[in-house]
Amino acid sequence: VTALAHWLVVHREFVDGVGIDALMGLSVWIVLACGRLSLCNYLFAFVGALVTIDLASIEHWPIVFAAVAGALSAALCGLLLGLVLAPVARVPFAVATFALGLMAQYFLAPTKFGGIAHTVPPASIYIVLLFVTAVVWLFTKSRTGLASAAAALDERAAASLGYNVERLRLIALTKGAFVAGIAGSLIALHRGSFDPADFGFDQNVRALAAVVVGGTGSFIGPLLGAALLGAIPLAVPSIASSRAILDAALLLAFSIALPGGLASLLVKVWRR
Amino acid sequence: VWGGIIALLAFGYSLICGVTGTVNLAHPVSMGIGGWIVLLLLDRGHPIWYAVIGAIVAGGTAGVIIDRIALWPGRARPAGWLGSNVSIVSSFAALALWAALTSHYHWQPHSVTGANRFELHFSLLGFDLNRRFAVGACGFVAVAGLLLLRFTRLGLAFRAVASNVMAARAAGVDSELTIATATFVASAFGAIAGLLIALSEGYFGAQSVVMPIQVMALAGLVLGGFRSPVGTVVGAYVVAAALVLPALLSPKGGSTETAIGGFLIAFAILPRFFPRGLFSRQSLRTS
Repeated sequence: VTALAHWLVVHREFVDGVGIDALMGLSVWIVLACGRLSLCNYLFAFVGALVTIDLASIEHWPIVFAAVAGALSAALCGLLLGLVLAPVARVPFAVATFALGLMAQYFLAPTKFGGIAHTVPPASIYIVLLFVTAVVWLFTKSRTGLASAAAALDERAAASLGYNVERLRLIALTKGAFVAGIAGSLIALHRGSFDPADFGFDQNVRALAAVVVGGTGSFIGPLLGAALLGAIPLAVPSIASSRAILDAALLLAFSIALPGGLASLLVKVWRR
Repeated sequence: VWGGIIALLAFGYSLICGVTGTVNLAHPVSMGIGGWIVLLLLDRGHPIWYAVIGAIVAGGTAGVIIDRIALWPGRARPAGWLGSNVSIVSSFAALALWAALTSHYHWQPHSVTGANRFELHFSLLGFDLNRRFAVGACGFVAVAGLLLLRFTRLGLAFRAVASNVMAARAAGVDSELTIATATFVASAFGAIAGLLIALSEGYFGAQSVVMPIQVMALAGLVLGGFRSPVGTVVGAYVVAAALVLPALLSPKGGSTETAIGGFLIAFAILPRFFPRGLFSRQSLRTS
């Protein structure tokens, strides 16, 4: 236990990073599980972080309330975007979210600001991750979750069964934005300040890479993917400086060669 | 100038989208390569026409390579885990890989002719000889592209594959060769856009130029219609006008808020009411 505690302290950056990436991956997966690819989830994390650090450092709110307010603000943004984009087809949806994410990177980035005295302990990231994963798991077993999965596979079939597919997408986008907002709040609280560099194109790539590398078939995929993406630079420190290349290369390689991700490989091995 | 450059990139987007049925988010890589190669060759003392042809060939070839590596597996595989999202994910990954590589290795040649570093300003309205050349070249290339689609056998093959790939195969059209050719032509158009920026500005920053213009080209694509080359050219000029007009009309120049409002309209509101764009009836198959 002492050795593990020491290891966690020494590699705190890695441990926290994996937790945050897993949360971001889950936020992408939630939307993906409804058949839509959202490429602007870091925009929601950006909103969550901005609101959280503003309320915590300037308005002096307790950090828990500030974090919840940040996540709710991100969910509201997701709801507004969902109201507009829920009826849109797959390709325009992905293009619109991709362009919004890029646009946000260029136009919506204020300078680094804020500063709170007490940052959150590393364990809080994993407590939140555990809670979010449990909620997502329960949702996938619920009637609405099953309907979302059905809509992802065949929208017409789901609609013919009486499900409102647009409403399911709206729910998925709002939930995904809420989880991304939580991740953004945790990033801001972890650092104690808001830094727009934490919400760029590279982080967006990593969130999607976590989902695709881990596997899109189950909510376990983003957790596996985030762990692998974090573990490689830890095992090979020389490539830590070129992590963006590694993330993009793994995303490309898995999307071409192993679209089911690591989870599908593990399932195959398990069945043998 | 911006309308023409955005139109060239958007035209390539719609050509690929029309023929393959999906958006290639890595399409602007050909623009980045075109702009980079032309400056590199000029920097090494090659004549301008060699540099221009080299840039077009390199950009077109890069587009075909990306298509074969990143998009073809998604097309060949039956629709499964993500359906049409597979190609979007892999093309997004290819774009991200290119962005990461250019950023990591500082992939920027020295500027030529001592011109100022290019930055994307909405209020860029000054015209000099180079920019007039760029306007003429963009218009010429865009019209040539539309004529190619309308009056040549190659254009007919593009339209046949866009209309019904199985029927095109039954009629003797090699669909994969047609897709590769369409990708080469589209990427060459992107490379021309890149080299025109590089030549008129004397500088080409891989990401500082490519990413913002990509957003505008996507706005043109959304406005005009994903599979409508004519619509995307018109949409590109509308986007450029939306960016430049506030600078002309407002005494203080264009504001970021105005630009954001314009983009939000293009990306968020228009797809809601016009999911296939404003010119969906003029799709590639009816060009």
